[in-house]
Amino acid sequence: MYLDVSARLPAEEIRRRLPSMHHQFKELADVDITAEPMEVGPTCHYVMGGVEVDPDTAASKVPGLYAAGEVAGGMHGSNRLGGNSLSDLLVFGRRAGLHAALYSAALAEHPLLDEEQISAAAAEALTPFEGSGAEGPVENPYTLHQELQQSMNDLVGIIRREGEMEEALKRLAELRERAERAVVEGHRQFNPGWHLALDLRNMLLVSECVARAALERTESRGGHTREDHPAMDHDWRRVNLVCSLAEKPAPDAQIGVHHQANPPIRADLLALFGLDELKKYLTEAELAAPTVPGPRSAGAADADGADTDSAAAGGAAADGAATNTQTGADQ
Amino acid sequence: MSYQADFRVWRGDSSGGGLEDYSVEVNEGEVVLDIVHRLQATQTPDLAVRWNCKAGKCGSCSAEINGRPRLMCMTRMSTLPPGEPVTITPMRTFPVQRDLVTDVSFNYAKAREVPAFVPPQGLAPGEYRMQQADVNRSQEFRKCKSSASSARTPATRSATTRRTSRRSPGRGS
Ligand SMILES: Cc1cc2nc3c(=O)[nH]c(=O)nc-3n(C[C@H](O)[C@H](O)[C@H](O)COP(=O)(O)OP(=O)(O)OC[C@H]3O[C@@H](n4cnc5c(N)ncnc54)[C@H](O)[C@@H]3O)c2cc1C
Ligand code: SF4
Ligand code: FES
Repeated sequence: MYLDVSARLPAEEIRRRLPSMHHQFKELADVDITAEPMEVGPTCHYVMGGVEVDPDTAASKVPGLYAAGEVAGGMHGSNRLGGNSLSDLLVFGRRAGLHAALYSAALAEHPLLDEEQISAAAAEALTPFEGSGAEGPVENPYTLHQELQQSMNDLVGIIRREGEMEEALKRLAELRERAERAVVEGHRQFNPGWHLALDLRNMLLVSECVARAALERTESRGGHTREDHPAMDHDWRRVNLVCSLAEKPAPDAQIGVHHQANPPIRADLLALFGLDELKKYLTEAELAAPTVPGPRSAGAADADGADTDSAAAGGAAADGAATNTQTGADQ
Repeated sequence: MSYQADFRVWRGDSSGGGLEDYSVEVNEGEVVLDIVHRLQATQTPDLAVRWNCKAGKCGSCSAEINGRPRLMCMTRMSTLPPGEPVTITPMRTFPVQRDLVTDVSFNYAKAREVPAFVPPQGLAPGEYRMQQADVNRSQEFRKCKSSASSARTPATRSATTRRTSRRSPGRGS
């Protein structure tokens, strides 16, 4: 696919408005975007899902663990709008820091670390140097990483299909089995192969979350496009998909997905939208509710400005803010 | 078109080290960082190298290529003399930590000396406007990071630079 700005703007204007793009194409591809089209393609841009957090405090379900920014889920629903990550970081980064400090200061005594857990974690981290001893040939972490990327790109990418995502889950199970046999060489200082071997475990879990949630969500919404379910389904809007480690992990399923109801949108926030807009997203029952469209109260604006960050009525971040893997994420 | 290139890469740590020879596959259109990654993936999994954006923005892939400071992600293989070995060494400006990774804490110390941006008092939201002239000024700093004489300096990380580069369609939003 080609994108051509040369036909739309004078060369001088392109150099002024798109200096880094102009420079990059020239430097890396010998393409002068002021005079010719550039070849473009889709790529991962942002992860919409993430750690489930409380919108007011940014607290996760793990006591003392706070998450904000791209690693937190739910803030942007199924489609983060351009530029909105920066404002997310500013608002929720502040909340996370503030509440983490308050939490820590309020602790009567600091929890003691469990020596046994620490040694277990240290031993696990060092496993790739010796190998786990699992049956089978040793594996190169870089090869596994590449295959993981390729599988997710091919099978859980931009246009998603049921059969392909099922295939992806099979491949993830195989990769996980092989990852246990990852072996690295060398030292412990700045060793990228070792870091990759350690990261693989998390990458595989996150990939499984994405694939499972995307398979489960039988609709298209935002960045999640199902070829076999091309339309948006109003009932799905009220559902967040929450992934967690399976209670009984199976070789082909480390992750469990459950449906969690989205809190209803606050009346004062609903009132910001026209009825025609709301019709695109809400169910008939929600539209019939007396709060649609309700009077606009001052509460929404104030909740964010309050210096104390008190848990203002209903929370400043409404729809979907306390969530997770809404669509299986991506882009 | 693929070919095998000879690479000489400095391996070692703060106590010393030396150049090691490798032969690596190169494909059309690749940059030096691609080759270093292939080297890691196929021959030297523990080769220490820093990189982040692969787009000439962050400066973390700085190294000396044939003796000159360059960004590895912005140095196309086709611009290097054909048939000659490519020598990659860590930046001499900074103390070496391991292989191509150097201690750049100096940059962060300098960055902390740059005063934080504070909008003028008494302005309502939306009243503060960024002028095109300010955007243009920041473009000067962008030239530094790819100049052959420079280590990446904190100046290039100014808020304005980041903002303009992030705003470009295609990479932005
Ligand atoms: C090309 C591109 C352009 C974009 N343009 C825009 C834009 O114009 N406007 C906008 O609003 N958003 C934009 N975004 C999105 C936005 O930049 C990101 O969502 C945002 O920077 C994420 O910030 P963060 O602090 O949550 O995470 P990050 O900035 O990703 O920070 C995570 C940090 O954690 C560190 N880390 C990772 N693992 C470990 C570990 N094990 N131990 C310690 N540290 C660790 C990483 O090194 C990193 O510094 C863009 C994104 C991309 C990819
Ligand atoms: S200003 Fe400094 S960093 Fe920039 S090009 Fe000149 S010497 Fe290099
Ligand atoms: S990786 Fe960021 S400048 Fe090269």
